[in-house]
Amino acid sequence: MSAPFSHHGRAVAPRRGGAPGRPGVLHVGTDAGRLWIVVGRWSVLINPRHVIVGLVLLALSLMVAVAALRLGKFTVSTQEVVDALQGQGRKIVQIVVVKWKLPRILLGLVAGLALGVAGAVFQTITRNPLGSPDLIGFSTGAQTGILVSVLLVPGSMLSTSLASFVGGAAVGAVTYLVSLRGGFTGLRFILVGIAISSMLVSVNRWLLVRVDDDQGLGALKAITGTLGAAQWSVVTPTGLVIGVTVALTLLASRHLRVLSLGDQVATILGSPTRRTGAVLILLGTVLVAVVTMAAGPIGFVALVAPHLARLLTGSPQPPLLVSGLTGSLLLVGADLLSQLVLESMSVSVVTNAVGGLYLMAALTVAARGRRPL
Amino acid sequence: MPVKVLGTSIRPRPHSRAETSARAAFRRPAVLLSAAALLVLCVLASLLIGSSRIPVDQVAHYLIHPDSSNVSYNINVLRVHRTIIGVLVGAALAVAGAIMQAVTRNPLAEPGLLGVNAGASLGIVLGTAALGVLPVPGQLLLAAVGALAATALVQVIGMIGSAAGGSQAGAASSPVRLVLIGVAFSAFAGAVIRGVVLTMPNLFRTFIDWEVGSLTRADIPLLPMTALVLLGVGAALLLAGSLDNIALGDDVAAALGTRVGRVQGLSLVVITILCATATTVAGPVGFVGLMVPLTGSWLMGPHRGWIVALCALGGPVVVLAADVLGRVLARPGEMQVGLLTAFVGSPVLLLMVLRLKDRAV
Repeated sequence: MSAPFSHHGRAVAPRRGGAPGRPGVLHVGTDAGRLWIVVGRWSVLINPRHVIVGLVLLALSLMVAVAALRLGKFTVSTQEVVDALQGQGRKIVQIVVVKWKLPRILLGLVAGLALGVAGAVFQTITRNPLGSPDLIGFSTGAQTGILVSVLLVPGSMLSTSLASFVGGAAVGAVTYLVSLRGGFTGLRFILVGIAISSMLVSVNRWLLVRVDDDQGLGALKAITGTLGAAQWSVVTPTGLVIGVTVALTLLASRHLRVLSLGDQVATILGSPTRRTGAVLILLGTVLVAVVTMAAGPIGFVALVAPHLARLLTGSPQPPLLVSGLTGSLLLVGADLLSQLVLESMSVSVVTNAVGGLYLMAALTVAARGRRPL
Repeated sequence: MPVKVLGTSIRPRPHSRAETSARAAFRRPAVLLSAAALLVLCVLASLLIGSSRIPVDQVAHYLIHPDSSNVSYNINVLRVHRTIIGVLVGAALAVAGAIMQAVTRNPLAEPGLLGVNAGASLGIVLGTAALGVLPVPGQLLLAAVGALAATALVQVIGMIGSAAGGSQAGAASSPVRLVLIGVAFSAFAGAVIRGVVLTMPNLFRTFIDWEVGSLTRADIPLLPMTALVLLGVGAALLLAGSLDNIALGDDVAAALGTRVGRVQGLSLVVITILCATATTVAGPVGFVGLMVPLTGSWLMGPHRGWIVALCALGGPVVVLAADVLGRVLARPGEMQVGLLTAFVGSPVLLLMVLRLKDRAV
């Protein structure tokens, strides 16, 4: 997992070194404290601060992951964890660590990565620090989909997952279409999402209030995102899809920084604006959808992780990979916290509560003009 | 004919100034009268139409000659009670919305959007989790405390913003920002509520029945509630003149002799009393405080007194109409009034958002 090998294509990479376009020739140089590498047509710009921040986040995530493997109702030592991961040691420890705990932690890591990257993509493309899937109705739509599937047409797990995706994507698309005229940069875009969500919230409550208590409580659990139900059969395909999609997103993101300057500037600079934008939105949606299908709606990670990543790297746009690593750390951290302190409360309860408080604080601070949101 | 009057007010044509003001002077009382007529119709509908089909002549019979039968109880106690609650809740929420919008100069200010409902729900669920299921007065108190806390919190945060942001090209006092703070608070409250409910499954019914907003609580002391709402509406009418001045800006208002700080403080008290009462009685009934004052200012023009008066009549119309609709739509069950107002009100919010001028966002 190397550095943010992200966001810069030829269109932006500094060419002061006069790197010739001959294939297969490697050119390395530095510019304004950043490292650039050019191989033939392709170039990468590496910011050392991003690399350091990314590595620190990665190390922290791994530490939290090991702590999560050790702690809990069944506490084991670090040595036992290492043994169990290599298929040695006591049988019971192996079962607990490898079969029960590991899939949960891996799901947390990849889901956090996916949400962080997706949030960074959405926030950059909409040029809106609040433009994350939570605030434009994706989560509410996913919940409506799940409720309809669980309460109205009871079926298999797959249909529930699919319904959550269809619901979320449909609401996201409606918000997007309604906002087309007004644009995506202002708070108006967010408010459109809020208005559409609040309509669906009343639908969700209607679906919940008309069934009996057991059914309703089951449905409430189903729309609360959790890592607790993770099994290898879900985690493996989810991890694969997320890995491939994140890689594709990083490849497609070479125009992202130009897009953040606005459509017109991006077009003038030679970026295929519409195509790149559409591809990136699609990839971001896939990331959020895969997480929602595997774990249920988990709010606010996609909003907060890119904000923190921006803060940590001092970069004007959230760097994709650092956002993803921040997301991983946040999600496994929240899950560990809920296991240790809150009697294994579903992780989305923790992320939503903390995220809501974060958003209030961020809006207040921004209103006081100390720093932009 | 009220319809005709409404028609001219929707499409005002250019007239000479004297003629216009004469028409306006005639129009506002006429609009108010039509609203009163509509309210009478809605009250009648609320008494006559229910989820159980009782013929009209029978309803009239039992209303005049109550006896000890189930049907008589249904009509004389349940339906009458629920109609009164509907009137109280509608008037309280709409007037609170009208005052809120005037004092914050924010067309999007609405109790539900600003987190009052979420606060009341949080109060109920947390209180019940800590103390067990309480009798109704206890629940009312919990909701009131929650609503109060939320109102105060969101308003104070909003004021911090607008106090500091005057110089910042209006960025901080943006109407949308206040709403976003309310939404963030609602998200926080919602998460805490869900966490508590998932941990204590026996709270599910309390929570969900509260959360949908309905007029069916039979054990609410009507008299004190009515007194509170009357007090709030009366105070709102008294404040209306000063609020008209504040609409011109704090400096102008002060120059016109309005004590801005005092009016703002009193308004906050009035808003809190009305919101807490309504939310306590019925649970979250969203968007009434947005839709009705909006229609009011559209029909009445920039005259807060007339708007408040219209809200006191129009709020009950909306709530009762939604309630009656809910009884008819989902027979033999019913659809709770809060669900319907939110479902109908959200598109209104959407339209307002799309029409907001760019600088307001």
